[in-house]
Amino acid sequence: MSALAFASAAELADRIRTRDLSPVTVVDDVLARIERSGALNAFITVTADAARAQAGEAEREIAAGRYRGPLHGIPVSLKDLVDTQGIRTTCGSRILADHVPSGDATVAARLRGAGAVLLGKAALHEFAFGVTTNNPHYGPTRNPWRLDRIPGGSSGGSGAAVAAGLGPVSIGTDTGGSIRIPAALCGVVGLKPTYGRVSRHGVFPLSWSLDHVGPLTRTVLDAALVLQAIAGPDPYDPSTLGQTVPDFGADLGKPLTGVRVGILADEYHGEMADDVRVQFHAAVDVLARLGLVLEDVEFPRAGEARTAATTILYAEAASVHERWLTDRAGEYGADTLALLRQGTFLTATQYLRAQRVRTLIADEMAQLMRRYTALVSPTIPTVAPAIGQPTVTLGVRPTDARGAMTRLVRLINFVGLPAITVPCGVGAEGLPVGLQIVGRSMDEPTMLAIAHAYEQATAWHTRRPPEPPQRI
Amino acid sequence: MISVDDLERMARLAGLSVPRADLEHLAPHLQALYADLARLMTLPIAAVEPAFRPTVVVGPPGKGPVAP
Repeated sequence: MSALAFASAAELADRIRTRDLSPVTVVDDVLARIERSGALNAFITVTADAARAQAGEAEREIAAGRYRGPLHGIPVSLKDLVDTQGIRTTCGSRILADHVPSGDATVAARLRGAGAVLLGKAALHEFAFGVTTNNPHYGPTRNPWRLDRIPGGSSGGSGAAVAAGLGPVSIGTDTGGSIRIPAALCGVVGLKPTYGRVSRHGVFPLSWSLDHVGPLTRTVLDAALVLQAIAGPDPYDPSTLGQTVPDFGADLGKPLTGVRVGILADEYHGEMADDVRVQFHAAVDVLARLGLVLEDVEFPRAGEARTAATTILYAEAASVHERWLTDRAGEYGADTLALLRQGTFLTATQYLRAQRVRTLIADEMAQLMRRYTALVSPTIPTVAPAIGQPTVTLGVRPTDARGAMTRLVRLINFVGLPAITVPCGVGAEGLPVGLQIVGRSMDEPTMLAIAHAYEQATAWHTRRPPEPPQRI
Repeated sequence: MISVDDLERMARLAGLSVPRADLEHLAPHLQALYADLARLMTLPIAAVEPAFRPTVVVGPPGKGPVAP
């Protein structure tokens, strides 16, 4: 295993800044590792030549005294629904298999501006509409911890890549958990910022009012560094306007004694597999030892929130795909097509009812968040299921795997709050378990501080999966 | 209760050609979703406008910027 493979972006940045390490060396090392890890199927496109050229340019700029900051020369990947100028962007679909954007998404442009080196485009569930990344057009992406398991999704390639040491950073999107699910199942950090914090311009939509863009990394500090580079107002995405961008790492390491945190302990959030429950309770104990004040709380109207979130997701996704559903339906995978079609049978009044319920529940959530700085829950109520496994068992009850994966994460998209998952233990068969921390709106710094304190108090983030094979 | 025939008519109105076997597969999922949606009508939303974008504005005065 290369010594560089599992270095964090912050560690690499320190050495690159002082010219102790060349970005070319880092990128060559990661590209060789990607080549050796083909069995994971984490990438749809690897831009090796361009990456080497960008790394060389970064090396020359830094040597000339033009260091741009902590992402300069750092290799990153982008979920393959983030537009990249001149590089195909498939959305994991057959319909867009040959689509080559004429411009960069805002997030891609900001990473380029920060000097990051693009490794390639990470695999995803078709059109981001699913949680397995078992893609009918590009093959299944595999979990580095066990190759017969899903990595989660829809940003499954991003989760697998970061966990396996195929670059310290990947950008994902999260509409109903699609950053946090693969991050948790692959044992890495996944950050979904507040709705409107990061521009969605140039990112293929799944559901406009639920979509979020954010990083998957191996440390909380790296997540803060990446968020710093990609956050902020963008005239091309009006939801980002009017925000003030704080120093996201400013509170890392600060004492948290007395900070009030709610444990989501209602009936909806209490349903989980036994191995996850054990790890979650242990994580709560760690938070208590850090001085946080923890109390059981209820998510307002969780069941109704889930119905409304599902309705909004299905209706908006069906609208995005309306034309193709009419004339290219045969080019979708079966599971994506079935979900998209459900949205076409929803009425305008049903959609608006769901959005009115959203107003109601968002207001009730605001009341709750006045009393608590953050909320915690497991990220996923089970460890990664096998590829193709239709159900999982939560306690004694078998339940649909997709519903189980999204259960604890999707409600946070519905109310737009920031959330992060950090590794918090090992469940059945050595598979990772994640702890979800939900913050107040636009208060990512405090949420990151809690996540960082937990991370530094435990060693879960230092675990590494087995070396992946080239073929399977 | 919505039937497969109903769904077939709705699909036709929307200009969609969906095989009947696919509609038979969709019907129970939609049936459950419609039932859940009907229950949302019991919530106190009579005076509530749709959200369209999540706007949870939280935190004590002076803590954090306002959500967009």
